[in-house]
Amino acid sequence: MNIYLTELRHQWKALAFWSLGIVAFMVSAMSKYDGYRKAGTSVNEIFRELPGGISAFFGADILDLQSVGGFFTICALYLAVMLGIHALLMGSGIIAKEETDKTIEFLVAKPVSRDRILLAKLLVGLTTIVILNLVTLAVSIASVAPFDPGPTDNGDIVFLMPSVFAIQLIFLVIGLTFAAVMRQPRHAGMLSGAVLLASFILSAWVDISGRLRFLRFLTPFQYFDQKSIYANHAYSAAHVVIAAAAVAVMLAASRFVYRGRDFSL
Amino acid sequence: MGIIETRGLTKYYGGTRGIEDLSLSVEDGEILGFIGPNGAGKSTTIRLLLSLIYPTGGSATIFGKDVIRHGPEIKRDIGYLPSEVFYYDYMRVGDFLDYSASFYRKDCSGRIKELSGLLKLDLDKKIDDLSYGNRKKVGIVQGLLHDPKLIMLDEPTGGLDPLMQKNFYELLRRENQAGKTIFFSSHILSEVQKICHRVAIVKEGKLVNIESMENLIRNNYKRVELMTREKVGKELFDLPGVSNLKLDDGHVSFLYKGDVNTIAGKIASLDLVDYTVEEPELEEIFLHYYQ
Repeated sequence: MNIYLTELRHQWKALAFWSLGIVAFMVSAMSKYDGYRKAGTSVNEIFRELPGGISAFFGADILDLQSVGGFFTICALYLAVMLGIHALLMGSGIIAKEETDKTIEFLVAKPVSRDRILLAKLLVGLTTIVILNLVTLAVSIASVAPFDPGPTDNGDIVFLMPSVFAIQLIFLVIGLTFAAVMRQPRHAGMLSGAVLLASFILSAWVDISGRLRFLRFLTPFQYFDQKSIYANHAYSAAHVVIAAAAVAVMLAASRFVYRGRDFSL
Repeated sequence: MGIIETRGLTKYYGGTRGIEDLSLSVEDGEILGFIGPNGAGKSTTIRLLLSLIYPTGGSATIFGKDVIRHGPEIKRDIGYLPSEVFYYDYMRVGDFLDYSASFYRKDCSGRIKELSGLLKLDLDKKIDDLSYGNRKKVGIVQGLLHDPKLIMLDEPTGGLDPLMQKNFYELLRRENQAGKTIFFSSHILSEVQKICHRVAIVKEGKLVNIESMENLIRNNYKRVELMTREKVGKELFDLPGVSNLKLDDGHVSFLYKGDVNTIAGKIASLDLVDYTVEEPELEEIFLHYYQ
């Protein structure tokens, strides 16, 4: 509990900065939406006229982007990437930092097992991603408020947030796993960043090209694709199960390796 | 059963040797100096005892319990000061010491106050703003604040000024008199001599010798250098225990091992300009163990 509380106290500043980033993003996105509406332009038209399959990437073929809920779904695609980056930096940093800063020597000399260290760090990571998710939810509802959203629109936002959380959770655990199992944990952030970028590009490519759709199974962004979830108003049970299993396997591997590894000092 | 027991403890980092087949016993209530040049495997041994790293072979117990299986349990009674201290830079000293104390199921506030007073440590400063010596003091306080039965120190006095070193040794002596066992690694022989009851010597990952301080001093070489007004004949120092004899006009130097009275008598018979009798370098002592 002491590790959890001490670490969490240290995270407030970073959380505040990330929250400000989310506010800035939502304010600028919704002012764009406001601009389209005031100019009487059809948002649907703008997105459907995008070249190639890019319109599919934004879900222009399946969403009513004119509605505030539909437009928010596009924002949610970006929010998932932003919060995913926060989560992977959090997951990798919280484990790797003890080794790169060499404070692990202090921690391991205390009467605490490695399992407890790992669990405390995981809980700190989970707490921060939940907080950031709730902040994002509140900011999202507040930023669509001036556009007369109906109860369905607010309901849609609430319905989409677990998909963003799922992306956060997956990347938190990817970051944590890399840091826990790598011989040089300081590279964990960079490597998990590369994984996120590759997943995002792959997800976008599958949407845009419309080919090799089986590759969807390799990217969490397709498992929790906000535009399909919004359009179908449903989560895919298969995707949820696969993602949960992947998270469980990564956590088990982290625990196994972290318990038995030599810390580099 | 010793407080610390290692049996054939071995650690390789890939193909690189850390320590090899180290069997050692630290007795209850003693101060054992663990001495060797840099890279001899001192820190490796301590890190194995603390399960920061795991052995390639052999085993170790502390308080009769396996260091890996019962790690968290035995660490309740261990205080550790690493050779280089790295703590959370963003914390204030007081908060860091409270955090450190929070791992133990006891009230450590009295000890924190007492120890930081003794070492003149400012609890309000940020760790980031501290000098190396002051960080070391933070390390000493965090290592002792829970009143541990076993104190492990890895080259503890680097960065402390002479006055603080004196205070620190005084503190260790006091702790030892209160029944604490101390395992003290160093590459400075004089440091170990000041305080230890026994000395274990390691070189290239192996235990070369372990003996009482008394024996070590008795069996130890002295380096003698003399400046004489007149040229001295070689035969004067043709004594058992003299080695590496060099004569150069009025300058004589040699290593001596044996009764100091014998050599003092010889020196007294000369007309001296100057003389020094020093401890040889640690390397020279190791040479002795390889002869």
